[in-house]
Amino acid sequence: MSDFDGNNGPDLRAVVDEYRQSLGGRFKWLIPLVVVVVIIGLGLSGLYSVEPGEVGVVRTFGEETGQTQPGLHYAVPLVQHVDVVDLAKVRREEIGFRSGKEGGGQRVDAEALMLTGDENIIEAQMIVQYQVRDPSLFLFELKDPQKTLHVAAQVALRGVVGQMRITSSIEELPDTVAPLFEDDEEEDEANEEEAADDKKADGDKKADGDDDAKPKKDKMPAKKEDPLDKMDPSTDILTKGRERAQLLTKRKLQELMDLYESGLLITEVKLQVVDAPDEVKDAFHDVVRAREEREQLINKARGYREDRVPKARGEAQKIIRAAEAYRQERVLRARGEATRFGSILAEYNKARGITRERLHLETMERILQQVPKKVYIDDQVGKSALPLLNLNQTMTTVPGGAQ
Amino acid sequence: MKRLIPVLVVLALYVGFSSIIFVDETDHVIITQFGEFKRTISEPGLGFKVPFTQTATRLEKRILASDAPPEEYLTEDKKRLLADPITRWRIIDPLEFYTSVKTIAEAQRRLDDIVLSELRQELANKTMGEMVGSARGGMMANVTERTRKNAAKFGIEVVDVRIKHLDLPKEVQQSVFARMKAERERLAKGYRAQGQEESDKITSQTDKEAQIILAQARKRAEELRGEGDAVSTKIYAEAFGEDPEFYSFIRNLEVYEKALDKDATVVMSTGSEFFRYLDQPGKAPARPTP
Repeated sequence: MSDFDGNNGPDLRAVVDEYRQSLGGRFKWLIPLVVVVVIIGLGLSGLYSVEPGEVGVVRTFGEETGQTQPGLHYAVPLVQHVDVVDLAKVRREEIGFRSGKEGGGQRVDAEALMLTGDENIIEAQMIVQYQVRDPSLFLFELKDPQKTLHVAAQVALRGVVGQMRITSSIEELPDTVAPLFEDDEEEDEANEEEAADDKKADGDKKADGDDDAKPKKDKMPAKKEDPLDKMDPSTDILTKGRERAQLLTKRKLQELMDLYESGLLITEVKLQVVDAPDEVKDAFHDVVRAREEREQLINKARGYREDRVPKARGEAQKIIRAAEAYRQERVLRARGEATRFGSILAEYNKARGITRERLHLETMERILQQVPKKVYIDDQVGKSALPLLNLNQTMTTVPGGAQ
Repeated sequence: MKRLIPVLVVLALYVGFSSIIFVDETDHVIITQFGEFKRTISEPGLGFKVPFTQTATRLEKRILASDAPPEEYLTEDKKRLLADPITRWRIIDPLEFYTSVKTIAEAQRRLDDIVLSELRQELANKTMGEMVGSARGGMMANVTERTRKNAAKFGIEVVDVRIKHLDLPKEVQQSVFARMKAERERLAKGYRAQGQEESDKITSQTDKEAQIILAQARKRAEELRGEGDAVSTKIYAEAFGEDPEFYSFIRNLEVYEKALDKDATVVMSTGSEFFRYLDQPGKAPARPTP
């Protein structure tokens, strides 16, 4: 039936023949129907939709002939090819770890460990967020943009970390310590000299700190008019330098991706983890603890100061007030007694003998009334007999008594 | 004859399709005739060739990567480093490419060889510190430049050569960790000592100040007391100076009264002036005139 089949028969003919045989000519109308359905199907297959935030890149015979905006579009089948690229979607790439399904990240050592500029090793984990900025570049200029980004992000991060360092010197205390308490001017010369020495020492310290900070700055090739310039390049990557590292990495990564004509826009670079590797983590954490202990000690000392100085001031006030009271009392009493004496003296001068006698007798009266034990010895008796007294109590004689 | 028509149509279609090439945005196309190079089509869109006799070969036009395996390098200061370079490149001269290396895999192999040797040479002139840190950018620019020159003969344009990873060999890593640990321990000690120092500084300063405050107060207190004593002494002296003998008399009386209290025993002679009236009430004895 088909002499031609063997020669150059395309598959189509074989298919058609098969149909003819199986249907046996009874359903001749079926063949055109199938053809029509196939053609309609093919035609309809050219329909495609572009969602909001997406763009369709149309290639006709392989050449880019246009981009389509959100909506329903038609591409001629077999001739046109459409790639729909999501421009709004924020894509994400993980460096140094792979997040599992439950969110817990699994560290990838080969990516996470890197050398710093001072030949230390740190661990870093980073997330890069990016979007497609130019769909044509994204599709046609770089093979495998995602993988490229993954590698370039590592290149960028390592480049940046390689220029940063870990703090290797003790952070100077900000000038917190005990602002010198107003030393009284009445202090000795020795004290003043000492204070002057203190001040000089402080000044030296400050100068040293400045010297440390300056030379490191020169190491970075300066990009002018750059917010990064404000950040000190010598800061520790593990702590304050992290933000700087992020910024630099983002910039560098974008540079690389532009160089590769990736059509990607890096929207964010986030350093998730920047830490010491497990092998030395304890030692690093101990430094943090030691710093906290330092703060604690200082705070405790400050607390002592806060407590001690006011108490001393209070004590000082007490001493001074007591002395003032003493002075006042002494003066007042002296005045009072002086006045009293003056008054008595005035009266005494008017009748000296009588007043003297009276004062003496009155005093004797009071004394003899209040003293319970009294011994009166006659002069004659005292001379003849041995005066023996059983003095079981302190014996006191009136000086005026024995004349 | 009628039967021949569909066959002819199919034949025509086949011939047509085999003479048409869709040149994609991502491809170069090389047309060869029995292996002999004819021309290159780099413009995307429709291209044509002679059917049957000519063959179209597609070559990647996009930027490609060549990831050489990590290798150990020796730096100038005899330190060993593991470097893992990656090269980005693209085919810019398809003919050169096709005649010299033909396939991408082969091109990658050649490129890796070039990169490795360039890198080795460059690294041998750098210390490890330079390599890790500041010099890396400039160094890789050199490597890129030379690789680019060397690879040009393959019809390849090298976009850049970068170090993907730069690590220390395992055993060196351990010694770095040991060093880091020692350094941290030093810092921790330093912080603790500094804390103690600052604490002592503040404490002793405080003690000193407190002591000074008290001493000043005591000094002032003594001054005040002295003032009080002086003033009162002056007042007494002025007042009592008017009649010292009378003052002495009165004061003595007061002292006797105070000294002779309930616990005292008084022994008196009847011959004293106090008892002068006891024996001779009529006679007034001689008395001192005040």
